[in-house]
Amino acid sequence: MIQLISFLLIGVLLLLSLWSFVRRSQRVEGGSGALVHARQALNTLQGGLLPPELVTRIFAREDLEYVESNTAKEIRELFIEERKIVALCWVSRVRKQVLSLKRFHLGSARFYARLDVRTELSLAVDFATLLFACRTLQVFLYFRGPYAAPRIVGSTAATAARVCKISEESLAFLTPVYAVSDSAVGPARS
Amino acid sequence: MLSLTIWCCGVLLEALLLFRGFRAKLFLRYPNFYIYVLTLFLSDGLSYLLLHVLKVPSYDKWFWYSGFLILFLGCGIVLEIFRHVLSPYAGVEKLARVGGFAILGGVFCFAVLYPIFAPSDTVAKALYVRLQRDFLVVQAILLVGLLQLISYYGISMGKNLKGMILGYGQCVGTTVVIFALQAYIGRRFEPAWNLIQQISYLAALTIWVVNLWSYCANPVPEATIGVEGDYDRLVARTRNMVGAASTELVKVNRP
Repeated sequence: MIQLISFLLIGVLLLLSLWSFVRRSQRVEGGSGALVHARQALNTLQGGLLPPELVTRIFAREDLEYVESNTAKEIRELFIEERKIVALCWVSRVRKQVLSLKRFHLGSARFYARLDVRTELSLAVDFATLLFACRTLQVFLYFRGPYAAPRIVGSTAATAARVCKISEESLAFLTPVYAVSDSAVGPARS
Repeated sequence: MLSLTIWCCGVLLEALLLFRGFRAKLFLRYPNFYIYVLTLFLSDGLSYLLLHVLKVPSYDKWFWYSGFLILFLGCGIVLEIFRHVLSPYAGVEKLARVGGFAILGGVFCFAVLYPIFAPSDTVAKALYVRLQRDFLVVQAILLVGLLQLISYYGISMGKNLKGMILGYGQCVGTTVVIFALQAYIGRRFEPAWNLIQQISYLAALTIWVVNLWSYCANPVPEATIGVEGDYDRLVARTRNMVGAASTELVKVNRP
């Protein structure tokens, strides 16, 4: 019975993998395009999604207090609901940009003959953990709302600073290899 | 009758595939694949001749030997796919190469030693069925692994290789599922299993004919960075980034 189940699983897994292989869209390849995409992701994180003032504003308790003190209950509920949507949208976009940075790493790593299996596996686990953390945050916001945990604001701002700083370093050491500008240009190996 | 019709269609499609392979000079590009198709064509053609025209009694023995050869050459297709898909990606190719050659070597040793030690035709048949099932499972695992690597590292490929993977993969997947069900349910539905397998094989041939009609090169990937020493730095930086971000997100999740 165990043999039947395992063989069936392998067969079905192969057929499903083929199905997703047929349906998958061609992703951005390596090269200058990937570098520019990674830069754009970083810029979006730094400039559009993660500035402390924006994060503070999304989760600002003063806004809620103001609405609570001046408006009816229905308006307060509507306000919380909309803030929740904004917060969820924010986490989802942060996750998307982290995914973009992950793709950049994979797009670079796959060319190396010295690629280390164990290192790549552990990195895959690390990325999965980070993305899982983003998902958990989404669930947390969905069920408890944006004002359930005040400390979330400070910690998120700290995350923003750390991610951006290290990502920038990660991209910075690759930049000299290419003549990269904000517009996509061809690779110019040194 | 239906089975015989499918058989004949299969032989015709194999012939067409070989013809297009010669015309489009795909033989030189995918030698393992075309050797496999040529062997299938010769095996199917000769089997038809022996079974239906000459009505030779020793057909079974021929069938098992050609079966072994096809099993062995099937692994060549997997290696062909590995070689073409992963050759521009030195790192990913390294991961796949070791496993592929180990399995090919194992099967080759078995194929050489087996006819020497096989005690009788009945035992041979039972062992062949078991070997075929186990071997196809191994190929299925290799293909699943390859598809995961392709998906994970975002590797793109041309129409020829896509067709090769899709055709061979669906054939292997269907056969593995049928073997598993056959082992559990028994031989009650044997005609149905055979028909499904034949249709799956015909579908594979059709996919191959369509996708290998002419040569379609793989898209050439652009390397992001070129110096081998950079890999360690890339890993170190990425690890730092992921580690730091994870730590902070854990804090966020535990207010």
